[in-house]
Formats: sequence, C-alpha cells, structure tokens
Amino acid sequence: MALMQISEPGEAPRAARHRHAAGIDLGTTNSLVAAVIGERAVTLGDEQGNQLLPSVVRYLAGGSPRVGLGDRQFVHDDPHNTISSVKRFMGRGVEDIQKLGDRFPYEFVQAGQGMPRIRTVAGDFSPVEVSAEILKALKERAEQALGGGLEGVVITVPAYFDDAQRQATKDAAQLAGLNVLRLLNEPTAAAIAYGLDQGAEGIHAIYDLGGGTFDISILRFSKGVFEVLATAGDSALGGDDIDRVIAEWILEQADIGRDADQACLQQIVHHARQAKETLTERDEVEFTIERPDGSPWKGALSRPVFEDLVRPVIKRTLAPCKRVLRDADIGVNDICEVVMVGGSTRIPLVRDMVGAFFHRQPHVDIDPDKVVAIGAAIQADILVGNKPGDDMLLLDVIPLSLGIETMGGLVEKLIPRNTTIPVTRAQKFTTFKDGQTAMAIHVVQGERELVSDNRSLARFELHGIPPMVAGAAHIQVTFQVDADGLLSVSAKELSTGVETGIVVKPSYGLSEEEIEHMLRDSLTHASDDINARRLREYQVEAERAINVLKVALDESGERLLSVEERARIDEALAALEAVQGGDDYLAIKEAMAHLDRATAEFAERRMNASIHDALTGHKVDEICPD
Amino acid sequence: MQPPLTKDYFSLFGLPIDFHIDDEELTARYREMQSAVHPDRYASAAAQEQRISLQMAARINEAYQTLRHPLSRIRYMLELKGVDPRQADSAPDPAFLARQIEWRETLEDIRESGDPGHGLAALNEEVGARIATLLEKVAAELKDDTRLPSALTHFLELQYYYRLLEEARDIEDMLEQGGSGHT
Repeated sequence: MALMQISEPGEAPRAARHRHAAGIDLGTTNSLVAAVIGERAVTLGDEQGNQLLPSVVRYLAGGSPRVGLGDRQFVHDDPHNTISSVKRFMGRGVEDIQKLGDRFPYEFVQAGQGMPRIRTVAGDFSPVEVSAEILKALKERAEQALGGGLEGVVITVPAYFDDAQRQATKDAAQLAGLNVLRLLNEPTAAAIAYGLDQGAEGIHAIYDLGGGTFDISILRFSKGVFEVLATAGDSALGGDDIDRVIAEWILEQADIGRDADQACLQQIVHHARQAKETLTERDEVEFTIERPDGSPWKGALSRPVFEDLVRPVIKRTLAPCKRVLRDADIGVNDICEVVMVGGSTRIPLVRDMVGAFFHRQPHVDIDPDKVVAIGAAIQADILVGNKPGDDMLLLDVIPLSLGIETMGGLVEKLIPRNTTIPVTRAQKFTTFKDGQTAMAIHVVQGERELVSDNRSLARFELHGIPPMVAGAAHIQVTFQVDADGLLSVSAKELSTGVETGIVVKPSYGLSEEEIEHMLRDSLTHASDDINARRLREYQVEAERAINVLKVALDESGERLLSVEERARIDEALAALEAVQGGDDYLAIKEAMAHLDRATAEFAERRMNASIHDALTGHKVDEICPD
Repeated sequence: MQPPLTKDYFSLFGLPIDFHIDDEELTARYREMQSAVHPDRYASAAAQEQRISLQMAARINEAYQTLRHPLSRIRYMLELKGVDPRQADSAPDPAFLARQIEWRETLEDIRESGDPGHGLAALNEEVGARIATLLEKVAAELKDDTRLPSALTHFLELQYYYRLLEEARDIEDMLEQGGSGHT
C-alpha cells in the first residue's frame, strides 16, 4: 500500500503486521481456497486433507445446508435438493435458465423481477444464497488453517462474466461475511501463478476450460506487469457440456427415455463424467447402468467414439480463440506459450485441437485445478497489505462492450470490449419535456446493434433533475467501470451543478433491499442485530479513515497543505473522533462525509505527488523538496 | 502543480504537446504511473482514497489509449486547439471523393475474387504509405495554428484510410475462413 511507510531517518521501515487473506476459486464443479503461508501460496485442505471442495450444496428439511464431499452422491440420490453447478445460474434470469433446457433437475420459481430462486425442501433460495454457502465453507476452512479471521479475500470469476454475474458473486461474498479485496479474472489469476513461477516474459495465451465456462485471454508479461491485451470466451460452455454429450449417448445406447426420473438421469451424468476422466488415461471404459425398469445395460465407450462425440464441443472454443487474436492484434506466432487451465484441459483431444490451432504444444506442467486459486492467493496477500514493496501490477480489461439504449431499440456503444479498466466515460443527455425531473437509462452489454440482441444489465433511474424548459438541462452521466469490472453510474446537471439521485434496477440481480433482507436472515448470533452490525461497520470504516489520515498528515501535511487547510482538516478530524466511539451511526456517517469533503483535495494532492515521484524515479517515502 | 484530473494528457505524462512521441517512453511512463495510483495499491485503503485512485487510474488509462494511437493522438491535439472533427464541414475534396470510389472498387474486386493474395498486400502497402505521408503532414501542420484547417482535412483523410485498412482486414479474415472450408 502506497503512502504508508513511516520511519525514523536511518531506521528500516516498520514491518507491516501480517494480515490474514486468502484467494478463492469459486468454480462450477469444484471450489478451492488458498493462502500465502511463509513465502509460498498453497491450497488449503479440510481435516482429511482434501483440497477440492465440490461446489455442491444440499438442502435439508429443518437443518442447515451442507457443503462438501459427502454430498456428491446426493446429486443423484436427492436431485431436487442437492444443487450443483450453481455458478451457471449466477446473474441469469428465468429465460436463460429455460434455454439450458431440461438438463437440470431443479425447480425454478420466479420471485418478482430479477433473479429466480430454486425451490428446495428447506425453502426457496437464489443462486446467490447457494453460492454463499460454498463461500462460507471455504471461509471456515481458511480461518481454521490460518488461525484467525480473514481480513480480505480475492475471489476469481471467469473473464467473460458480465456485470450481473460479477455482482452476483460479490453479493454472495457479502452474504458469506467476506470482505472482497478484488474480483479477479480466472485467466489473469492463472497468469500470475504461472508467470511468477516461471519468471516468464512476453505474450502468453491462457486457455481456461472450466466446468461451466470458457475463457481465452491474451496477456503480456513484462517485469511484474501483467497486461491483458484481449479476452474472449463463452460463459455457458465447459466440461459440463462434455459430460452432457456423453450422457446423451448413453441414454441412446441404453434406450432410456429423457423423461426418466431425475435420480436415474443424474446418475447417468455421473457415469458420463467418470467416463470422461477415465478416457484421459485409458482407451476404453465400460458401463453398467440400471435402467428405470430395473434391467441392467452394459456398454463400452472407446476413445475414438468419445472423441467424435466431444469434438464439436471443443470446436466451439476455437471461435473465441480466433476473435481474441484479432482483438489483441497479434498472430499465433507472436505467442510464447499457451497455458492450459481447468480440469477439462486434461482431455488429450483438447490439447491436440488447441495445439493445432496455436501451432505449438500447450504448456501442461502446472496443476490445472489449483493454479487459479494460487494466483488469487498471491494477489490477496498483496492487496491486504502484507507486501508493501511489491510492484506487481495487473492491468485487466472489460470483456464485453457496454452501451446504452437509444431511439428505436438501437445500442450506442459507450465503452468497447477489451478497454483497460478502470475506465470512465461521460455522456450528455437532455430533457424532452418541460419540467422533467426524472430520466431512465437502460445499459446493456454485448456487441450487437439491437438492444434486444444484447444482455440487459440494469435500468438507472435518475431523479431530482432541476425542472427546466425542455432541452435546457445538460445532464452529464458518468459511467465508471472499476477494477472488479463492475459498472456504477452517476449523473450531474451541469448548469446547476446538482447531482441527481440514482436508483439502480438490475435486470438479473438482487436489489439492495433484498440483500439487506438476506443479511438480516442469515445472521447467526442471537445477540447480533442489524443495527449493531451497521454501527460496527461504520466504526471500522471511521477508524480506518482516521488512521490513514493521521499517517498522511504526518508524512506530507506540512508539504502539501496551507495553514488554513490544515486547520479545517484538524477540525473535521476531531469532530469524527468525538462521535466515533458512540452508538449513533448517523452521526458517524455525517462526520465522515464532512471529513471526506475537507480532505478530498489533500488526498488528490498526495496521489498527484506519488505520480510525480513515480515519473521522476523517486520513492514516495523519501523527503522530496518541492 | 496542476491537479492530474484536469491536466491535458501530454502534461499528465510529462511530455511536450507534439505529435512525435517515443512509444516506449510513453509505455514506460504509463506503467510507472499506474503502479503509483492503480486501485490495487489502495485495496485496503480508506474509501476516499479508493475513490480518487479509481478516478486517476481511469484517466491515466484514457490518456494512454488516446496518445498511443496516431489517429486518436491527432484528434486529441485538434480538440486541444478547439477544433472538433465531428463539426467539420462534411463536403470533402472532389478528388479525394473520386479516390474513395476507386478504393471501394478495389476492395470489392478483392472480395469477389475470393483470393486474399489477389491484391490485398498491394492495397495494404499503398494505403500504409499514404497514411505515413499524411501523418508527417499533419504533424507539421499542428505546429502552426494558421494551418489548422489543413490539419483537419488531412485528419479526415487519415480517418478514412484507417477505416479502409480495417475493412481490408475484415475481408482478409472472411476469405481465410472461406478458403479453409471451416469456420
């Protein structure tokens, strides 16, 4: 963390206290948690030493949900209440789920607009809540292994995840009680682990075929800077689809109808997955399947037949590969290495087809299951502040273009895909009726020209526009995509300087009220209540703001502030300290807003100084006369 | 020191306002600056610092992307001088119009021939050469405020030629896919 080194002249900088942080790979099929222990990033196992946690949540009537290895079998024994591959439903609506067809045994119910819920014996749960159970299990595992509470985590998401899918992931983390330091793209996480391990430089391709998502990212590694040149993929394509074609072959061979009961169908999917894994090592696999009428079916699947079945699925990954090369403005010959990530990349045919496309043998020496969590752990360790001098820099991109709906159902593209984040764009709007005080902006993600062909992200409703003659208002709307790839919108009427209020209506997500409600429901301590929680959050934030400010004042207050400015800041600081220990959260909130206004200019100057120092090659902690 | 949120992009990078830029120097400075203010450096900082870090990092990204590519660099330099290319008088020089029609015909020929080797290399080379000449012209014109109208005209021509190269590339991709028999 910049600006934080304080030392007496001649003394070594005080070592930062070690903070517990972890990296989480929240996968479609399996999840992992990893942390930096000593100098190495390692995955953390459960009491039996199992590193992978199946992304399976089983709901029981009258009991807590269970996450873990023991629950895999219930996927076919109790299919309606045992949720697997929930990642496929994050940030999706009912129509999307219907498009996935009949392959999932869950009962989806629509609760108002937005995110559908899954009906189980324990109640109706959104995919966000199901994911939160997995995250809670990983949190417990990490805190046990590290011997303390987690101060922050980095959670990975597919690079091709859109805003709704990312927001859903962040919401799940919030429900699980985790502080998300960063949402990190999976290929970038793999690139960190691979790049740092190998000391690699140059342009690399990361081919990441997970259980339910596919990403292909092109990155340049250069002296600790990982720069994403372009990324492409398919957030509904993965190992699950390979399992499915095999399962359908089995159904056909065994003459079982698709209307068979779910327990039978899920068991066949289970066999299909095992066959896929076996055929990586062996040339043939045999089945014994119990038909619905009880009669057994015995069959065998040879590798050539398997490859014919699976080839069309893998071929679907090559179109994004073509596009990403075009977007990155490079050819296959510019690539140093192709790194394979994700369990499905063990399949020999995948390696062959990818190798043929890129004209080189893919790099397969890393552990394709663990590399993402390892990379996330490395970044978590840095972001939480354990490595103050570390110069690693990740420059990632937004994977899908962002646009707004305009007249006639067309899209005006605002931020093109593969733009480096964070990014800000401003657009001017005006009113079309006299006295109009509200306006709605519909934001979509995707590359097509028509709104209906793109992914609806949210409607941003502006209100509080000062009433004027039609066309007289100059409303500047600022679209900002942060380092997590998440969009936020703010708006200001320029002639009056009034900031309009914004209400966000996500198209496929949870509203703020819904999350508040879920948080309330999920609190485990009887003595806790929503007010105590909120007060604590404000107190913690106030504490942080005060500490950071005091350090900054010590370090550069004299250099950067006039006497009057310093006096104003001291006053606001004292005002916050006065209410910080109390129990009135509103007073704290107000005092913080006041302090924020008083110190914003100072913070900008400090950051300006650090840019200046970077350009002139000085370190921020040297005293630098102006 | 002028606050970076309002500085022009050249000053932000500590560079003089000039079309000729050392690409490597620009990239090196970009990385140094992002290293100082990127949100990753402030992931555990107070909310205010996170907010300002985000704004600054976004602006540095914007500045870098604008200065990196010759066409956007020129457009930006014109804007700094108060010239908005979008307001430009859209009646181009008739000679240039005639050339545009010729280029269109050449592209169509290539597309219909089904063979990327048919003339794409020649087209790319010729258009590339024109772009290089125009870039030098504009670089000189931007130094002289009396020659701004000329700079604007040449900028619009450059814009056209870059689009032409894009279209040529689309055709090349399309023909390659058709040629291999698969998509």
